Amino acid sequence: VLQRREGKDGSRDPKDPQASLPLTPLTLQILVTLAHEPLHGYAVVKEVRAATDGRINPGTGTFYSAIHRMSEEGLIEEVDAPEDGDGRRRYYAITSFGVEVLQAEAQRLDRVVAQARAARPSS
Amino acid sequence: MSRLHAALARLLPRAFRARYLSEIDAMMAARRAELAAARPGRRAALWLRETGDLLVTLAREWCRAIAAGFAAGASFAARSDHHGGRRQLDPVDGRARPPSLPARSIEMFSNLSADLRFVLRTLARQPLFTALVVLTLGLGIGATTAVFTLVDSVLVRPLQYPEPERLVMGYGAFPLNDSASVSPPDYLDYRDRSTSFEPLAAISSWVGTIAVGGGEAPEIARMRQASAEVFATLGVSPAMGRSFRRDETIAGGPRVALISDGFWRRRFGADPGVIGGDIVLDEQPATLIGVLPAGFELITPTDVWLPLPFGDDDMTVRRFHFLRVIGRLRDGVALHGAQAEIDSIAADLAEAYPDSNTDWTMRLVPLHEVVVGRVKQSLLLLLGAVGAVLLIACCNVALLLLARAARRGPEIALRNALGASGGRIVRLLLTESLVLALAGGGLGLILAAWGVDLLVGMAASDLPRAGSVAVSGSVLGFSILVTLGTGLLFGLAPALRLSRTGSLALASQGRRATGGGQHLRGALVIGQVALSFALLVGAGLMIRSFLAMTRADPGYAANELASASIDLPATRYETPARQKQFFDRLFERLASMNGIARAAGIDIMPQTAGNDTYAYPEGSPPEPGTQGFNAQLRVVTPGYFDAMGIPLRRGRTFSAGDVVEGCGGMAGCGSAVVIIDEPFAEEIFPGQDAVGRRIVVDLGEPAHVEIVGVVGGVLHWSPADGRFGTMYFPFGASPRASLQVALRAASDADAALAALRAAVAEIDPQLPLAEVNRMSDLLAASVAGPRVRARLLGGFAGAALLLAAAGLYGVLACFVTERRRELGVRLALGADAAGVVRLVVRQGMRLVLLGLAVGVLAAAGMSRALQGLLFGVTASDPVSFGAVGLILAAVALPACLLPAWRATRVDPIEVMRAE
Repeated sequence: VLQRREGKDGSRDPKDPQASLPLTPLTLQILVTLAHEPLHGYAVVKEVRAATDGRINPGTGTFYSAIHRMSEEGLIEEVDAPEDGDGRRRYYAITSFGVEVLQAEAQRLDRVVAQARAARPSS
Repeated sequence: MSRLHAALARLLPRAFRARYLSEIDAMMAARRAELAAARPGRRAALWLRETGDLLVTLAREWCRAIAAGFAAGASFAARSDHHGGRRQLDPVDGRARPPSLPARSIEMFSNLSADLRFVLRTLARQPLFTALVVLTLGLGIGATTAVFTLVDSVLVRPLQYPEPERLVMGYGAFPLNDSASVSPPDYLDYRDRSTSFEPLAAISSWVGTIAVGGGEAPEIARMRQASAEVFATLGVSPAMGRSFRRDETIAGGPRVALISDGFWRRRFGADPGVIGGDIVLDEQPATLIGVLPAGFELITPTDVWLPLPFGDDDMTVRRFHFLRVIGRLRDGVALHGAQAEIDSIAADLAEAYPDSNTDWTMRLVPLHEVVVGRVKQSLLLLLGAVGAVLLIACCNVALLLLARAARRGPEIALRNALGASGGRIVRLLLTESLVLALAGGGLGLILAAWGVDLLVGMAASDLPRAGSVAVSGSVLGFSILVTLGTGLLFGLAPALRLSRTGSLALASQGRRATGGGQHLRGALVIGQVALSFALLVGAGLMIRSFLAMTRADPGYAANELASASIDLPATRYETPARQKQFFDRLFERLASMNGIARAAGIDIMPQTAGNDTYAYPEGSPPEPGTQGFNAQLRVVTPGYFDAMGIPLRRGRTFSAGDVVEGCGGMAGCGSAVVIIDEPFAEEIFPGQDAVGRRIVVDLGEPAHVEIVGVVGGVLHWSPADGRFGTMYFPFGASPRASLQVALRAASDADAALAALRAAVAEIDPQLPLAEVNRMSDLLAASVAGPRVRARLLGGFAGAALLLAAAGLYGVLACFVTERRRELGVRLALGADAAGVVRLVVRQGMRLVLLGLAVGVLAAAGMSRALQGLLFGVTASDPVSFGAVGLILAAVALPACLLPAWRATRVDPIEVMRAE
């Protein structure tokens, strides 16, 4: 069982990507989407919706709540709009810490998938 | 963003809002745009989804913000204690360390979030239970908030004038009527002699009409006259221009006018250039001196304000009462002090002018009461009704939670055995009920937003200040209070019971009932049934009152009857002869038009306004100091009774020979004959034939006339106002500049009105028609208030009935579940199904009957409070009480039978094995 490691004073060590695991499905999808290129909010939602066949389709409030939390945890950051982008909107990009967390989550999921494959159907 | 979304987004924590509000706004707009071409159903679904999502986000972000605030505060306190307030720096990078949490608050917050997560998971596993609770609460809270919004906007929030509590209105008062008008000379005396007020002001008692010309077709506007002091007294200055000066409020003074903001925008396209220019009123130019501020409204909506012409003929007669007085009490003057001063001035006036002023005074009423008094009782009644619905809803939720708690005994026992303290368990259960209450409150807010629109739409014509109804901070606070209060109310009972019982007892009890729980549940059901009974009786009385009103005979045939009002401008119809000539031509022309069966004229149509005076039988004058019999006074053209379908009871109607030359005085003046109606005949000549008798009528001066006919009585106003005696005088005796036309349509009222328009345009193309109505609409409007009351109360009572039935069902279902073992044993030992059904139904009906008994008492108390709103039924109406009892029993029976049927399906073997 994976457990969140907590520091003595209760705050997570910001340097340890394991502390952020497991990611919620929405957080994971946002990180995967932003790993390709910086995007503005609505573009992220549309990408996530398309990538999951509409199974993950966050409401506006939930989405920005997630963005807020991910920014505070250092997984993503706000960046300037790209040259060909929409200057009125805020763009978000994955941080190097976010990349580490994404890789750690991918490894964890690998192990989960391996365990699931090894399990035999119960009789 | 929709209005509701914007309001919800404003409640987000400040930091979050500052960072993401514009983004949220942009994304919602993009999503809506994406669905612009989609079906409305999909757009509504998106709106609902976003609303729910925002509510969840609200809860989440506030939890986070509060936790962060706590953490920051706690770490600050810890630093101050241990390090003398110095900042603790990280030894590696030299930056301030992240705040540290003391152990207690860490535990508290990890517990709280664990509780929250646990509660959300359990609730999600029981969608039916959760949905029932949230829906029940949402309905109750939504209805309460909607009605409270109405009460708050209309009754509680003060008038929009400065220091409104000092404003009073003065009514003429004499022994028969304390809500009459004040005569202009009396007003001037009160104004000049009293010291309790900043200058007393006056307005005309009713809103009249005036034709506003110039530019396009003339338009009929609502007009009221005012003295120069009115706006200063109210503390309102025109938004543009100025208000009246005293030299403009005298007969023959300069013609000036003020208009409302709404009229300025509608008629003049908000053009500031019109101020100081001329407008055409009743075909005469007047100077437009100003525009009143937006939202200004005095009692009823008014488009055009004109100065009162003091010194005019009518304005110097003490016996002509047609003003309302408005005053602002001076600093430190109490209402009763001012009233005492007015009474003493009135006594002086009575001494100086005994003919006109004996027994008259002016009654002062706070302006707020004048504006809202009419609907206060209805609104408070509604508030009581929804309060009862909310109480029933809370009972229901408590029942659901109690039933659940009973089944959770073993789980709680296990938690306790594993070391959870009592307080911790109480907190878990309270968290659960608070989460449910908040979800219900959220749903309630959405329902309230719809409900307010619905209520205002239903009652707009009958509601003062309908334009100012809006959900305010206090309403939001109220609904939050109701929500949290409800959560505590129903959360506490199960929580305390569980923590009180020892864990061993609970564990061994398993799924069996506990005595205390059953009593509590029984009491809740009895309360629900009693409250629903009282509500249903109230609704029944309102519905029967409303039906009685709609069935009330107006005294004329309202179907295919229409009316319209014609005002002849004094510029082109200056003499009575010219006025009579116009109307004679009009009725002659109408007689030959297609679509009109009969047409006639009257000065004041039923259901519109009134005008009354006094009369007494010739030879028996009233006691000195009294004035005789009060009756309504009307002037009609020949054929009026025929056109209206008012039956002639005795004698004859008017003929051409009754018309004599006018004397220029009050309506009816100069005639030698009069027709009265049955109610007045009964009053003035009880038990005798009135035809041929002579009476003396006060028409400014005493007029001796002979009664030539008696006709059926009519309803002049709403049925609740009753029938008033009426005297009819022939038109032509005193021709008038304005007349209302009664049209009996050949087939369709609208076609008849079109024919009237054509006939008027033929004679005078510049003349507009005003107050165009079908009489059936006017009659329906006169019972609008009772209709709204009956509908709303009926709706609330229906909701209460359903909730009570659901509660009863829940309790019995629980009873059956808890006694499965006993029922199984009974069945195994040979009890037949009918016996088991009887057992369960008896259990349920006992509660219903007890509830009915309590309900009869509650209803009897409540219906007495309704007395003033009833018409045609008594407060103890046996039909209402009986029918409601039957309805309740009819709904309660299936609620009992369903669980009873389930009880017969208990499999004895399965039950035994489970033990």
